[in-house]
Amino acid sequence: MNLRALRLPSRWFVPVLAALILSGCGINNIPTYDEAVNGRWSEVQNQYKRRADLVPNLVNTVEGFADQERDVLTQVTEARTRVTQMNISPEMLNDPEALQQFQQNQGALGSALQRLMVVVEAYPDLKSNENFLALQQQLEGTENRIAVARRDYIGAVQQYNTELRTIPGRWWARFMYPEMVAKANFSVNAQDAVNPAVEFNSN
Amino acid sequence: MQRFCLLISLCAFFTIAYAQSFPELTGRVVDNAQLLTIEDEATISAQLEAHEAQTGNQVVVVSVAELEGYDIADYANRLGRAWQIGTVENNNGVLLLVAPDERKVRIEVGYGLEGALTDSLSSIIIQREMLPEFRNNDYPAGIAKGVQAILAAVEGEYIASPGSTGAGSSAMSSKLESYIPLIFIAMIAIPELLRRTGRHKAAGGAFPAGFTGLFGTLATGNLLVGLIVAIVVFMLVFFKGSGGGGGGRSTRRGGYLGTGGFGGSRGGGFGGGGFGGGGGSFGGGGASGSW
Repeated sequence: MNLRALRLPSRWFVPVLAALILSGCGINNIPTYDEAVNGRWSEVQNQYKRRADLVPNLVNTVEGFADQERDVLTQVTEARTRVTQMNISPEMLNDPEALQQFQQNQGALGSALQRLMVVVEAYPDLKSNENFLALQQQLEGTENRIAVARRDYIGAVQQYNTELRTIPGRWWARFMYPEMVAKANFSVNAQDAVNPAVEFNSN
Repeated sequence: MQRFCLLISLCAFFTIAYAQSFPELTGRVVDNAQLLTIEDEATISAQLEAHEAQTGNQVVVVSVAELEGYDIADYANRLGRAWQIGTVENNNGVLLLVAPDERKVRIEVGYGLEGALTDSLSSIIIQREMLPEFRNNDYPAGIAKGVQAILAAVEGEYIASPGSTGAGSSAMSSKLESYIPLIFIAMIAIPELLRRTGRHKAAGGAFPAGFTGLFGTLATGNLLVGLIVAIVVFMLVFFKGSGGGGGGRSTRRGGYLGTGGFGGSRGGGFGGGGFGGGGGSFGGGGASGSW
């Protein structure tokens, strides 16, 4: 292999070389990570929506057996209404307050559901109802998927924000993507620290 | 020039993955809590292997001494992802996790098998097949029955090409692929730049170093190996050429021919054998139980 044959005119050689090297050094990272955050966010909303969709069925089933637990049932229904009224588009992820509000609403529904699951312990008929058992399992599965989706979102935002704040991403952001700003992330508040996973120990 | 080299090596190091504190994926049965005899382990392992050969689904059984404070669902999900059970395309992995000290068990199902092994089916398998045996402290029987039920549930869900999940490093190599153009350019550019600045000897070493480094990287799927190979080759050529004065070109040629084979053969030794995940991922599907 004769290397001399590979010699190129130096006028454009260096800029082209620089561009190619830099493309390996993260010039595309910011938009890529931005898209990753949006994708993760869709998954978070998707799973939260799945939980909200389970609620009416769950409330109806519990009502049939334990109508005297009106308070808890009302709390669950109200919390669900607040949750379904709030939707956050990817563009709103730059707004920490919107995300905070979203998280608060979802947290309220989570703890209301948790209370519901505690009070139903007193109703053996309900606990052995097949419809209820299926709903219980779906709820548990959804809570697990929410946990995973949230964790993925947190990771994606962390990666995106780190890229924006560290060199060389910081330089790219300044020159190429001035409109990109840091995104809000979930915080683990006291509500979440109490594990919301519903545990079902059969017999 | 040094700045360019620095930039390139920085890029290279960014891709090296960091390690996690999970148990090691030593086979299809990772019995860290010592619940199974060697025979049980071999039997289950053979079953899982046969199943994978037949359907492409990757099922792994793991027992751990402790969950390190994690919720079992969280732990299983992280572990499944860290091991990348299942294939990248199908995410057809299942993890059966038993934590005897916490008295907890979980079936964690990859995205692709959630339709066949649903949450409620996983729950039924745990409640009906596994927990009764676990309550009698018969872990081998519980695990064996659980595995049977899981395999029956996922049978035929995905007929992926058999054996395609065995090689392991597909996720890593796809990441590396995006760097190939860059490495090629660097291979040509660095000697060129070195020559222009009058460092003919270094230029002679840089090309074979880059070439063998690239081969080493592709063959082993490990960038670090490639870098080490490249550095060794560069040193060999550089110091070999130092006695020859102006004879840079001839040593360069010799160095290239002599060391190209070295990079390739070294790569071959790393590529084969062993059991590993195929890049599959998990989204929290499955069910847990405790006894």
